[in-house]
Amino acid sequence: MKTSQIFSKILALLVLLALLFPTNTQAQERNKRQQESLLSARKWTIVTVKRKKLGKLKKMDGFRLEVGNEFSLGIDHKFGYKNNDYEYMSGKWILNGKELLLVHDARDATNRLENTIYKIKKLSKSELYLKRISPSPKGKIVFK
Amino acid sequence: MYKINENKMTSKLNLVVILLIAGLLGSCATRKVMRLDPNEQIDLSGRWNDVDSKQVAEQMSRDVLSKPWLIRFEGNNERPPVVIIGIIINRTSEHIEAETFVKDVEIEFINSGKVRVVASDLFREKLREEKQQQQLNATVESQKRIAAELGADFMLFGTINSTIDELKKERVVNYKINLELINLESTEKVWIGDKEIKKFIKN
Repeated sequence: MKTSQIFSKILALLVLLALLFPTNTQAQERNKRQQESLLSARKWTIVTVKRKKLGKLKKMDGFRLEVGNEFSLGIDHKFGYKNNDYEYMSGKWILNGKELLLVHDARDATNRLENTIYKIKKLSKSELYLKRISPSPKGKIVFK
Repeated sequence: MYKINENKMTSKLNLVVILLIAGLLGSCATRKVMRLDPNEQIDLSGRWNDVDSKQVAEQMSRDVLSKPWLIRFEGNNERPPVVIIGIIINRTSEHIEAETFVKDVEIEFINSGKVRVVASDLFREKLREEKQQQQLNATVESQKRIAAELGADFMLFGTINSTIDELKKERVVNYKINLELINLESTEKVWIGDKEIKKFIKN
């Protein structure tokens, strides 16, 4: 094979890649927007909680999560959380691929910010299934 | 004579027929009424609506009750703070009923048990009038004491602003709601919360 032929093939491949790359980025962006609009479309209520480790107080990071808790994510990327003990959590939410990152105040008198990371296992109009990654204890939470 | 009567009869019959047709047509123009889920999001004009009001109330109440001022106050005073809802000023060109979301914030405060809420000035005046009446007309055992009200520690103030940008048939409206919680004694602002709602309207 002549050198010019090899060059022309490489060039064609590069052009193809250059054409495909923006399409892929656009698709990712579109998918992200779709997920964000699904997440912020409604108020979510916990219907199932499964934990790997149950602490003495059956708490998840000092914030009890149980059936009936309410969780809402706003289109402005702010979230609000209320559990059955009328304990509140609020802050910002970020969607990073399949991970949902919640940045919120530490539950004490300091002004420290903490974060909780969940993996989105399933997301539809009527169901949100999250797997808690950090901080421990890990667990699975289903919202409807 | 007979012809004149016949003409009168025909015109009367025509009138009756016209009225009947009009009645039938009127009954055909049906009105459709449906009961809807109050949480359903419906936007018709693009103006401020119940969905915006609910979103503001929910986010603001969760934000104010999750911030460190509450833990600090409880730690220093060993009791929940007493809050009074002050004025919410509407600086938009629209008519916005701030009371709808303020009531929701109040409900959240009271139901949480973390904050005690006292009546605002309008209601207080009514209550004082009633207590004055009781001093004259109620039995001594059932009379409520004057000057035994619960003094507020904090007051909630707020503003609603909007900016509008429009070109031809397109319009972007940005509502910004700011709420501030201020310590009545020291005038220190212990919490400021804001919520933005941005809408794109195409006519």
